[in-house]
Amino acid sequence: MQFTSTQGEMLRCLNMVEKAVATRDVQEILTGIYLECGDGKLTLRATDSEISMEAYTTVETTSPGSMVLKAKYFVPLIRRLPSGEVTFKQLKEQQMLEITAGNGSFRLQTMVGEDFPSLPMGNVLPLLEMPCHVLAKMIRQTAYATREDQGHSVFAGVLMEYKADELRLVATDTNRLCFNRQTIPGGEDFNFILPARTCIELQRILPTDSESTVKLTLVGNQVLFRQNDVILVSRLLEGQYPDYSRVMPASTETEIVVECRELTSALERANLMHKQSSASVTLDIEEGILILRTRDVELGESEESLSVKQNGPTMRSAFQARFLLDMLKTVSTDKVRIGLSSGMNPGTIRPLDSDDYVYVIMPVMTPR
Amino acid sequence: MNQIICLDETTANKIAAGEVVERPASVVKEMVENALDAGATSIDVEIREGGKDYLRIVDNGQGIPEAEVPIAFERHATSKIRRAEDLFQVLSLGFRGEALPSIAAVSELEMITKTFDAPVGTLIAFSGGKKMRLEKVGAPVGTTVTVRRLFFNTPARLKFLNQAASERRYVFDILGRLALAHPMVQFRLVSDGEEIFVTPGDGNMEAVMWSIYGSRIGSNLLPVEREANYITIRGLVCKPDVHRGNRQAETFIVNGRVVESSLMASAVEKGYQSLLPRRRFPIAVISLTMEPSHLDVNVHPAKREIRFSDSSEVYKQVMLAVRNTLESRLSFKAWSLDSSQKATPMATKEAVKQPRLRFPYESKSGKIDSYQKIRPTLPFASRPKTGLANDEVATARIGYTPEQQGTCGEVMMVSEASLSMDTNTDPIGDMQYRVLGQFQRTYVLAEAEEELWLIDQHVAHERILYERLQKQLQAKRIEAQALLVPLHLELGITSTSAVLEWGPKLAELGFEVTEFGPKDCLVRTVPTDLSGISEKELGELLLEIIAKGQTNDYRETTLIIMSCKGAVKAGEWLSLPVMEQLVTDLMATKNPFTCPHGRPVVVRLNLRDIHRRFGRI
Repeated sequence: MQFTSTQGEMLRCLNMVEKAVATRDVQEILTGIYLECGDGKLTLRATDSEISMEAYTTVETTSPGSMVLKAKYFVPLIRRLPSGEVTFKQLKEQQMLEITAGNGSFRLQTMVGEDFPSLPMGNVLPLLEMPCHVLAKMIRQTAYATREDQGHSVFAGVLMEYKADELRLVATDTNRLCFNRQTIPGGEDFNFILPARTCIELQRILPTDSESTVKLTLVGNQVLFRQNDVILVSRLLEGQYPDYSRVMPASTETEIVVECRELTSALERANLMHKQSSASVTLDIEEGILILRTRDVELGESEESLSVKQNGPTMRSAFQARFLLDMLKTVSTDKVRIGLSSGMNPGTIRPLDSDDYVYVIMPVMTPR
Repeated sequence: MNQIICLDETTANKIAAGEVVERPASVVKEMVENALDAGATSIDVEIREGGKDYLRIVDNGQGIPEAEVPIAFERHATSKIRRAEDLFQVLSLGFRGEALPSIAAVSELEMITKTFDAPVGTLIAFSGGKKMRLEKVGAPVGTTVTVRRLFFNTPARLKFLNQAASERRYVFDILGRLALAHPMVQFRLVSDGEEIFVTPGDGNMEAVMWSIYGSRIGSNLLPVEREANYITIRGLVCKPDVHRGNRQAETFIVNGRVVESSLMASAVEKGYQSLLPRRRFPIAVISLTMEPSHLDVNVHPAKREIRFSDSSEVYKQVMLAVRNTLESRLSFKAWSLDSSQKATPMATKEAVKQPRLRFPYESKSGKIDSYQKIRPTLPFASRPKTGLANDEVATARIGYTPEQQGTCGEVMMVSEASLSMDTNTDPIGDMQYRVLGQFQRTYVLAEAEEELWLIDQHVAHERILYERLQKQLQAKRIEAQALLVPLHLELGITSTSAVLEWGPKLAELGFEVTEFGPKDCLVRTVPTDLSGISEKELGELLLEIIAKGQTNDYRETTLIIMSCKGAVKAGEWLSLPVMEQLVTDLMATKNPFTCPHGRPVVVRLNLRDIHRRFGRI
């Protein structure tokens, strides 16, 4: 195998697939990146058997072939090569790849390409095509609420549900829940749970422009996302996702409208008065004033008030400050609507004029 | 002096009852065993208020012929043996002939029985041992025993009964075990009108486990089978990643009789080798079949214990049966740490000598006035000042000569105990310290004046969390995070009822637990520190709190367990700022030297000792 490309293009492709390389040496071949060239096209692939990624680029092919290179050495080498043309040539007898760039030439041990697993492709038509920036935003506004879970329960993933031209993403760690929906016409119904890690990798490969689109396909127990010249395949989480609509309150007793940035910085200050990350902040709403209070038995206490637009009776509720902040940091509007109810009933936060992004959060029960 | 007299029968029966009948669960056990001996294929048990007020056992066995009914209530009346020699050939469960009269002596008992060839059934009723009724009634084939107001005439015993929830748990427990011993018989248990479990009665022991313990345990079972010499071993063991904090879920059966056997328990645990964490116990049911002549069942009045003629053989065979099952069904690699992979000793790496640049030091005397000048990027993590010592004094003392600097890295390799590794508990006072790094992802290394500290990251964090939780508890500020989706715990019948019984105490600690069917419960709030906990961890935590809290102060126990669960684990990589925070927090605790379990937190090596090791002095 022999082909010529540029340092910049090779690095761009490697950056795409690198995150799927297996970090633990369970199967040695999976710690490598697969290269295959032919017909002026280069395919790069990596997989850790949970996530697989593939990228394509055009190259000048002298002779076709395939091989696997240890990612740990190959990627840093390409990163440090001078920009410009790079030639890759397989030295058959020695199982080596010779990389020539500028005045340098490097020979790297290779593994046999035939042993590398291929992607589950099939001839399945995509179920949905959607703008990349929409999906990226939806993931950004849900994935943070998943639970860090070694047990691989359904809470370690984001529910993706498509029905009647509407895509819905839901995530919960049982303390709070994110619900996000967008109308995207022209797809076929589906419903699966995407692991949180896949969400992060997916977000990384989605371009931010408003033109690009991504296609989604289900192949067995795996989902395949195709964006232009990159493919991401991921295993899905198995299990039954709980009926999220039952925990989303239809209404709340008191509703306030508050400046998002003001509230965020007040919460950040309040959160300093705590040694624990799990500390709570009490919200008192009375006559258009929101008072935030915190108290830590060891450290001290804080009190800060904000003026808000209030609709409903006087209300007191406590939440973990970090859970409130998680959500507020992902809102793109200036103001948010917060709904609160007494007792063990959940509160809600949503952007001022939209019901497409709803955050449901359970209160902290503080002893009297 | 009092005259010696012969006790009347009622008194004698009351005394005997004390040996056989301790609580509702023992009545259930005796009556169910009778039903089994009568060849029943279906046994229904119904209890109210944990069996204290009412319990009823319905079987479809052969029944008792009318003429024999009154005799059955005489002491030592039995159909099961004829003479003492038969004791060594006993295959039936009962044989002493004590159960019925004993129970009748301390309750209001009513029995209806009918054999298949009798035209009508017989009803007999007792109250406090006195026969009240004996008459003919219409009845299906089989025997129904109803026991009301247990211990109504022995107030002392009545007083010692626990609250209904506990008694219920004992009944669940014993009936579950009996069902496991007799998978061919269908068992059904109803408590206060609610069906707790029903077993299929199709001979499948695994199905019985499902019925009793639920799907999590039911789906993780491995079959045990072994035949050796005169012993046949059958049973089920749970995969080692599911385990319990006590021996409650171990069931032992010998010739169809449920027994307590510390011998078999330790054999099973030995069979698991090191697969279970320390002080954790397996979930297992082991059934032995052997010629009755190899054992003595008449050791204990309630026949709970058993004596084997060759106990070491039984031990060996049970242990091997369990071990073979686990070895063949699971890859052992997952647990046995391959020591060659664990640590790569420096010596095995190819030694490439790296010549070092020698920096000229500004000061000829070799003294450098403070660390900040050498390593400006690694600032001192300093404990908040409370005493008199000032920065200058403290830092000036730590300065050492440049040629000693190189030794710093190698010190970490020294592991022999010959260094004075005692956990020095001299006050650390206002010592300045600086975190050097992490060793084996388990210990934080720090230097402080003339000492090198090895800090166990897990126990250090545990100490910090423990004191924090303790302060919160004292200030009554344990906060609970309400859960949007309650965590669903499948704990099995006995553990679930234990958790529910502990409900009020757990609520005080921030766990709100509610019932969700007999085998499951829902947790609706958890302490905020545990808001990310998974169902599996939470289940283990609650059971551990209950198991250990029985003997100690449950609040204290919970604090220890919660701080242990919440602490960083050994093997976790920590960044430098995190380690600095950890050491700062540790130094601020009241007792930085021992963890709540009593293990050392900091091992301090003295510079003098290190010098001595290197032959400098």
